[in-house]
Amino acid sequence: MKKFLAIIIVVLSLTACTSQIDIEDSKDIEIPEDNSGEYDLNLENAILELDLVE
Amino acid sequence: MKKILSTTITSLLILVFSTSVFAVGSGSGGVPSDDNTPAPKQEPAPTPKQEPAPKQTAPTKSAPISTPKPEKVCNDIENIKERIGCRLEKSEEELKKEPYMPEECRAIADDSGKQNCIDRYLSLKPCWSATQGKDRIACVKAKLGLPQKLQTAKKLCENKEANCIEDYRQKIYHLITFRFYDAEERVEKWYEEGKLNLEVTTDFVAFIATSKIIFNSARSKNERLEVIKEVISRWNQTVEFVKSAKSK
Repeated sequence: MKKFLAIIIVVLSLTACTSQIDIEDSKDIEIPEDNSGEYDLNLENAILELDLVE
Repeated sequence: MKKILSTTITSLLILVFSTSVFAVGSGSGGVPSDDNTPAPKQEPAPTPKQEPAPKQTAPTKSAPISTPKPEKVCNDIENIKERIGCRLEKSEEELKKEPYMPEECRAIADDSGKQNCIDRYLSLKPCWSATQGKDRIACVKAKLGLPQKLQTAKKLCENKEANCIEDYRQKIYHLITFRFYDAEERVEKWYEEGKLNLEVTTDFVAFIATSKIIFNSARSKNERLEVIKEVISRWNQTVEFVKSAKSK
């Protein structure tokens, strides 16, 4: 019985981890449209762009 | 025993479910870094922590920090600041006589890499005529072969060739360094308009050139992030200075 319980715990833990990873992966990063003001360099978007590939 | 078993399974299922819900709710702000390497300090001068030297009283174009002879080739100057100052003092016509060598490309050791860099700069040239902001960035994305709507590398490269992620990463890096370049061009425009003097402009352009080189040689996300943050900080300082000079 203990063995059975241990297997269930392992299986459920793995399921939990996998589903969490899937959720993380499915998130996308929305990059706002660049503003066109004289002082708007939109470098905050560069940080988000970096997040896309790192 | 069956009761214990069913209670255990129920508890575990609740635990699993609650973990998943928490994961959805957390993290709209991007994927956390998997690299905690501290970013190295920028060695080459000027560092982004330097003030943009906003000490001028009346912005003027006639405050030379070096006095190049008319026939002098700026590209031959070893010191980056002097080289940039030399270029800033030359007219467009005079500059056309010099070999085209962006500072970012100059820093690349191998010839083919250097040439690729120059070619990229040349290919992005038409984007300067696009309105700054979204139009210009849209142009850059198109020239670099990036989709207009950017996605994570993992999503974009799903079921694609092995080099897809690396290729996408490099293009994104080029997009980011273009944003630095944009800062440089705007500051040069303020210089031409007399809003900044030669010294401040030279410092800023040299800072951006150095930042691009450091960004390209960075080995971790944190190092790259540090460069971006320093550019943001320096840009904000310069903007504040231009705005305050304007209001005087």
